[in-house]
Amino acid sequence: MKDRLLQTVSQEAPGAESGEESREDAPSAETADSPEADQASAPTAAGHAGGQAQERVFAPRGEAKPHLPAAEPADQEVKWADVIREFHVSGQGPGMPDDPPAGEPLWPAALEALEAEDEAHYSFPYLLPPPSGDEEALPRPLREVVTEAIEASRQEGNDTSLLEAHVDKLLHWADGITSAGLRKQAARADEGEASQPPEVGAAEASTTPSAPVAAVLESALERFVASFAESSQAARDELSHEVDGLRTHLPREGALVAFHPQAPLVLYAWSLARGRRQAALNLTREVRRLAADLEGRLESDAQLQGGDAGHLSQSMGEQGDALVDAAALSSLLPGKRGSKPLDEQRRKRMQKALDALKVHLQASLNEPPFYILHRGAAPLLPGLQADALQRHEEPLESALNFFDDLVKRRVRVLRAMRIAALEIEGRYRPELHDAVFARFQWQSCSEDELRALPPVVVLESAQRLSGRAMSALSQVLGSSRPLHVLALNNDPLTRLSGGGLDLSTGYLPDLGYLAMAHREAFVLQGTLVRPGHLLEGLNKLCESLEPALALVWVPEDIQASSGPSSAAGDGSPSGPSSSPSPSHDWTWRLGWSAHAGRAAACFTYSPANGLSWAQRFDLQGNPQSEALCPTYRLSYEDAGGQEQALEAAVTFAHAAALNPNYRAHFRIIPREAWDESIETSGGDSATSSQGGAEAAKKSRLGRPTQMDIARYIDEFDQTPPAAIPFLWVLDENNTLQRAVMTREMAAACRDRKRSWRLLQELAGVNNEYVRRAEEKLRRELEERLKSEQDVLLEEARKQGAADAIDRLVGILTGVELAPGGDLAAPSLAGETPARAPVEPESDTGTVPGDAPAQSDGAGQAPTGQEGTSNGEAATPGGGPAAAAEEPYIDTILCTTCNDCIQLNPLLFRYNSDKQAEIADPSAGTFAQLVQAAESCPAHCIHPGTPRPDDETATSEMVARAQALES
Amino acid sequence: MYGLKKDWEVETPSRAYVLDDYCAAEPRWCPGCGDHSVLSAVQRLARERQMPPEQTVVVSGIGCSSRFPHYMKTYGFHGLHGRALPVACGVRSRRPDLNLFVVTGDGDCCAIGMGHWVHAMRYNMDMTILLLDNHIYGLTKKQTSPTTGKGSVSNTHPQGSFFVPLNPITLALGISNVSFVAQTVDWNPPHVYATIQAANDHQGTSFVRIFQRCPHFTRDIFAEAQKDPSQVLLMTHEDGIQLAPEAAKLFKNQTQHDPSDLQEAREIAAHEELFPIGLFYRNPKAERYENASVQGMGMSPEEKLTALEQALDRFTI
Repeated sequence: MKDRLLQTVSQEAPGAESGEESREDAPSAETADSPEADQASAPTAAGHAGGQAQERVFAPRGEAKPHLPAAEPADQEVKWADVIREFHVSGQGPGMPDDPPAGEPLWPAALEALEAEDEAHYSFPYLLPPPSGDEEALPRPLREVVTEAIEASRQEGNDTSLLEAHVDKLLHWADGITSAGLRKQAARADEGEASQPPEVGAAEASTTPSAPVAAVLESALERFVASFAESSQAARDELSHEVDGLRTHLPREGALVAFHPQAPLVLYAWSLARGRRQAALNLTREVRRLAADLEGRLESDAQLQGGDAGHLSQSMGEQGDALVDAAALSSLLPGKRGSKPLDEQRRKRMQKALDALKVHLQASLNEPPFYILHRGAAPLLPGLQADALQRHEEPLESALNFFDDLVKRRVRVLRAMRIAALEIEGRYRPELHDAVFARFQWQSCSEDELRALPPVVVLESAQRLSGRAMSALSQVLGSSRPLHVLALNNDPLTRLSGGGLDLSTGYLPDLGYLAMAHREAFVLQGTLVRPGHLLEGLNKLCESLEPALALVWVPEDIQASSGPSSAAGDGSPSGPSSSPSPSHDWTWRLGWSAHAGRAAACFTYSPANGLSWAQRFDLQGNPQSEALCPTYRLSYEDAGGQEQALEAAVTFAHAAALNPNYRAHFRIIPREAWDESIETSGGDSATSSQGGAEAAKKSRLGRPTQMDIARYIDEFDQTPPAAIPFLWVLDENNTLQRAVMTREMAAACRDRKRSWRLLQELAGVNNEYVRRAEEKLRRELEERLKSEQDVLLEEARKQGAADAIDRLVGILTGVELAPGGDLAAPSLAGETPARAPVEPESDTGTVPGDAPAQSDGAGQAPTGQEGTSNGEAATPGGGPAAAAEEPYIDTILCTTCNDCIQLNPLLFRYNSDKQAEIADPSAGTFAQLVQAAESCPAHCIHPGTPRPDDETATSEMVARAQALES
Repeated sequence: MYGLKKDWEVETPSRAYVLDDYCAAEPRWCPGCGDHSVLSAVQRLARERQMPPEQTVVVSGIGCSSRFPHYMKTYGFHGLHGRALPVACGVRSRRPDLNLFVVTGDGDCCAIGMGHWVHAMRYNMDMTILLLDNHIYGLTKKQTSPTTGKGSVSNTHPQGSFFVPLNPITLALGISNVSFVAQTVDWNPPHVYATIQAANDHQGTSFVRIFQRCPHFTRDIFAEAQKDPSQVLLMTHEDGIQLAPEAAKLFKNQTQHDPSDLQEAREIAAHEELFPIGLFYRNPKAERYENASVQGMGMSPEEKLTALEQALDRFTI
């Protein structure tokens, strides 16, 4: 038995033949997307394609439906239960024959269903409008913008059918061109060019994490058209025509941002520019105004001061004293009469304030929009001032001092502004204000003034924040200073993959939780696969004046990625063999599965919104946020070929299976090792309670069973199942397989579920307090209703007894009681027939016997209307008045029968749908029109009335034409 | 990668197609022939779906309509009389990737090809069968076909056809494992297009009968129905043929029919006074023979040889 297992493992080791074959199947831009690949795969003749192309030719039409493999007889020699359990517990043990090579990511079946969700579709590149432009213009996926542009072109009368059919390709090119710029920039950074703070200049602006939309789209359109070079000339002409029509509707301003690890930084910069730019401009304007005013006043004072004889003498120069008596002139100047110069102390104070304002004005010319304190390589942001990027070994620890230094400079300016304002108004009182300004600090500033201050942003990795930098983070978040911490995270469970933590015995720290514990700090947790939510959160973050943490999931760096996408080609749009785009699908899927598996959940915590959790905490933006795990419906075929459906819940294990870092935590169970008692329940419904009960029963009997991971973590909190959890995955043939996972991985899934549950509770979703209150209220209501019901029942009993006695008395005494009297109680059915004859007269519409007549009558009206519309239908498309003048064709009804075209190809022609229309009414005779109309099998030609000079319009022809129209 | 697809959502074909890319020789059909209508509908559909011409095949038998492959700039197979469907089944057996159309006529399909037709319908291989029914043998100059109306005069029945005509729809609805049966009229191109589009979307054998006239021999057989739209019964349903509202307005006589209701489909199809058009029946779950016939396609020549030798070895004495 062991020999067989070991042999299989050695065959599938990396580098073995089978492993090489698998890698050939990996997505590669060169082989999957390039025009050459398409060309190679296109058959030259049906049934004659050979070589490598054969595989593509013989590929099944469409995707094969996921299906269960047929059951296989179990090998009695192999104790699969022991092998599987050993792997689950220890992550070790012999290999399994169906397990793909190590490092090959698995494809969880639930993601097949997730793909169908609109919100999970790839939405990059994102278009950022100019921050200084229209305030209403919001960032949007380029797909939306291009689709709208195509629609606008269509509304103008342009044909857009080819663009609509191939819009994905155009977007693919735009994404590829945007991303190619990023890769070039990253490559430069690797070469050391960007390891130092970048110089200011146009050269840097040309290689940016974002790219100008006009240039990208223009290039994408060119590549798009060129990529159809193999099409016919007619198709290429048509495509060029459609592209020309589209071009005028595409945006010319703004930037595109790609799906890139540093995209959150670009989005942050955009939000900041949009939110704070105006505040900075306002401050500068005010400083300029005050400075000008002060300067004017000081100049006037200088003139007053300059009126003395010495000053005059100096100002007239060396020859002046020889010609003019400065002392005499001084006594004659008007300044000496009435006006008083500023006292020395005040003048010095004003001069000092003016100097501070001037320093600020000078400095603001080169002031960066923000300061980034970073640790590693410089972030890829274009056009930033040299001092905007500050490299520190421990940026978080340096942040407080850096901010204090920065704000100290700004406080000098703000103090000067206040002094200037008071001096200008003449309200400065040294005995009061001197002390005030001596104590003036940044906390005294207004909100607008603080918003005008360039924010200090600390760029850190989530990994470091979870470890060494945690205490510094706590210090920053509790400092009440408006410091922003931007933490990018590409692995929600770093410590697991790093081997530093055994989740069987420990729990992961959640940075989001930790940040919220600082109570007055703004916290955003987002992911790049939800750019809309991320942007909204970043906008709020940029508005807030509290310390803030943004924790954002980003894809692994494309260059450094160990994932399959790293095999993607250059993607540079300049080379003829380049692919339209790097393959982002793996990282995008990874991000989405982490997001849906609650490992990268989204939320915002905004202290400015109020005092309660309900006001501060927002969990919107997550898929199916009311559920513990988002669930999607997956259709598949069972072993008998019957269609079945699987309720597939997404957990953290789904993201982990896609990530090679966690691949060692999974192994594919051979079909013969499946626990058949669970197969049905797992196959039919992964969350079926019946299956769970069976598993539980099996577990109690001490026999290992297998259980879907979603159900496993669902049941674990009540009774930890003894079953081994597995994940449904699809192999390359779309066959459903089971991947058993380690205990550590299952614990990670539980950990993420428990973390999510608490977030739900904070957001008021399935809140336990609410549930208890509901239960209490329900009990109270039930008790109250019961007591009320008892009272009513007692009253009814008494009333019934009294009525019965009255009736009995009436019958015995023969006295007729008036109808509608007390005896007409609801329980007396005898009243109804007495009233029945009255109702038809008052309300005919409710009389059952009249209903058919009414309905007949109602039915006649539409019939009459139909008759009218019949008449209209005899002259469809325009009405008799329109037809009376010009000949026309109901083109949509044309059957392309060639009859009219053969009669007169100048008079009739085909449109782009190969359906007839009038080409030139003057190119034919009235007789030809009538003849064509008579022979038209669809009766869609309408000859109209003849032109006055048409000799063929005899009375007979006119009569024939009229007969056609009748 | 283990099961991971190469691309999530983006297909980037290297060619785009306009209508001319599907137009081959100038059709030799008579002016006014209904075949033109079907041809242009198929060409428009191919353009709409951007079907690569080399991935598209049209198979036909013999007759006027069977000249169809000559006019499509795709692969084509102009087969033997009545044998279009066996050829098409062969194509589908080993080429599950192709877009496959079969064009046949009332003589080709319902007379000499009857046996193949019934079994091809039962095999339910993925193809779109277009029965261009003009009620006459036109190519051979007016002989009675199986769908010729009773009493219609032809060269073979100068005193009028003796038989009640065959109804291909009721017959198709009686075949086991049938999966898609629809009917349309050539004088309403929007409905022709929508019907062929739905047929092409269906996974399995889609049978579409198209009423059309022969401009020479059955010129006026539908004249009354064209003048009086109430003679045409349009079947509508959310799972049926989806027609644009402006086109549906032309049909005054409409009925709701659930295409999963086989019994009602048979009742409507048997109607003798009206021309019912639309989708009679659809069963997406019907078995498809190509699921079995494509087995072993990925085998290398060596593997095939080994398998063959193993099979032959069983007979070694």
